[in-house]
Amino acid sequence: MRTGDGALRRAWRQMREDPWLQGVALTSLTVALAILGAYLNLYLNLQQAAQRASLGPGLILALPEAASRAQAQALAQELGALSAVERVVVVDQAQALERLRQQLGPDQDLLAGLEGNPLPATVELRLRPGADVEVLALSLRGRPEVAQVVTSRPWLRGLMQAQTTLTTLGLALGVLLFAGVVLLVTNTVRLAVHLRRDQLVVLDLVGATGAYVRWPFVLEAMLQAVAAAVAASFLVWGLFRLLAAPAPLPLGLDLADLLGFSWRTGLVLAGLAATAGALGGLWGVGRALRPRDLA
Amino acid sequence: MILLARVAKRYPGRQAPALEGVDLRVPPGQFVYLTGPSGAGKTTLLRLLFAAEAPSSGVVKVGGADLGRLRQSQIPLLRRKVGVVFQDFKLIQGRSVFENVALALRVAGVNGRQLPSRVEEMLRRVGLWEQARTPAGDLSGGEQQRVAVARALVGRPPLLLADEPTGNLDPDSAREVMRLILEAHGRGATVLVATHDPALLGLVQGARVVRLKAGRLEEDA
Repeated sequence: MRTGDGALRRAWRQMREDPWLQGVALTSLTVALAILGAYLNLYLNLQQAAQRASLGPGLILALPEAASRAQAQALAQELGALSAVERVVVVDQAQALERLRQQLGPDQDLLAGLEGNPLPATVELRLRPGADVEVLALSLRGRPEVAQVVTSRPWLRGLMQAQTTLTTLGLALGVLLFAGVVLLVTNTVRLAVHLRRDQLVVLDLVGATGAYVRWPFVLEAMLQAVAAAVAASFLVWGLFRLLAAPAPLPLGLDLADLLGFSWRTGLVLAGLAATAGALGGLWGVGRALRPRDLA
Repeated sequence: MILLARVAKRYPGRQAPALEGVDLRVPPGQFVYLTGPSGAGKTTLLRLLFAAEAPSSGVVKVGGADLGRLRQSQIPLLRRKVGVVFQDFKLIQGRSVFENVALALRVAGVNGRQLPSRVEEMLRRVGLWEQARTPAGDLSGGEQQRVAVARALVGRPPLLLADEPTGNLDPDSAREVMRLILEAHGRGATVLVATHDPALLGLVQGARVVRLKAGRLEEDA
């Protein structure tokens, strides 16, 4: 017969004694965490995509057809020395065509009919924050080694400005979803306390301290939440896998990238679930137990 | 061991007090019957003694501790020194006999080898060692009450309170439970048994009988 009686062991015993409650708790928490997980995954993927978009070149210089690679490198070196320029990349014609092919994805056979490579070689500039794109573009227009100057698309600049607002809104929605999970855990713990009222009366009678009674409930809530997070991760992964057919999107993105599920997201979800379990457990058990009322 | 001075207990919404002006002193090692009709205040008095209720006025002291001044966090420590037996057993029905008895030791931090040996000793004393692994809910009423007595005594408390301990039992089981309570008294425990059954009063020679009526102490013999 077992003699040890740590809080974790008691939590585990409580859980085994109540399979019905575990089923209810795991099902509801899995659904709630799947919603949070799907949101979190989309949010992180969109953040990454937005970051990728914002890391794109601030200025693109199309070179004349006759420009050699050496001329392109010389221009890149000259522009790289400017204080407004953070990074310079030379993209030759072959690289440009390959990039377009990747962006077209499943529709890349559109390029099959091309006889030559219509794309020019380019020098792409990424500017430092605060640099004035238009002033730099004006100074480069008319130079013989530059055929055309292309600045970032205005809607993309708008998107980048909106990014901060969207991040704040996204975080607020995430916090709301997290609070919903905490409330769900709180109510599950209250239900558990209600169902185990008889046991709690006995514990109170034999002199169990508040901590002795409370900790197994908190640990039980944490274990349930982490188990539900694992189930929710598989659910979201399966769902996103089902929906994520390759489909090209603007900015060189693909729907499959946005709906991709990273296991790092799963770990973050498990961490959030454990935190929600601890918070909801402490809140639920704290409000539900009033020692003097039990006996 | 026990001191009650001008104790009153009133419940909100009830006109008549559950207890009024109760004075009682019980020295260590005494066996006391608390008798009186239903609603006389016997259960309320016992509940005051293990801090399940706070008195509306007056002083309640157990083992020198003034229960009216006890902090919430100190109540569990008091309860580990007071064994309590109820008419409805108050066992965890789904757990084994062993686990029910062991619970009183576990909450007090007794673990390791000491725990099973003390539970075994207690269960042998109440004649239930063979049923140690049986869920408490599968036992008869008499056996369940013996488990409750075992749980109350396994921590070797200096005070044992029993509220109608034989109320739900047949005469043979009632005698067996009273024998166990008497045995605890023989080992030095102070015992308070609340009962309205006059047949029980004759079981203990020389026991003190305290009679309550309508919340007042009517007779102390």
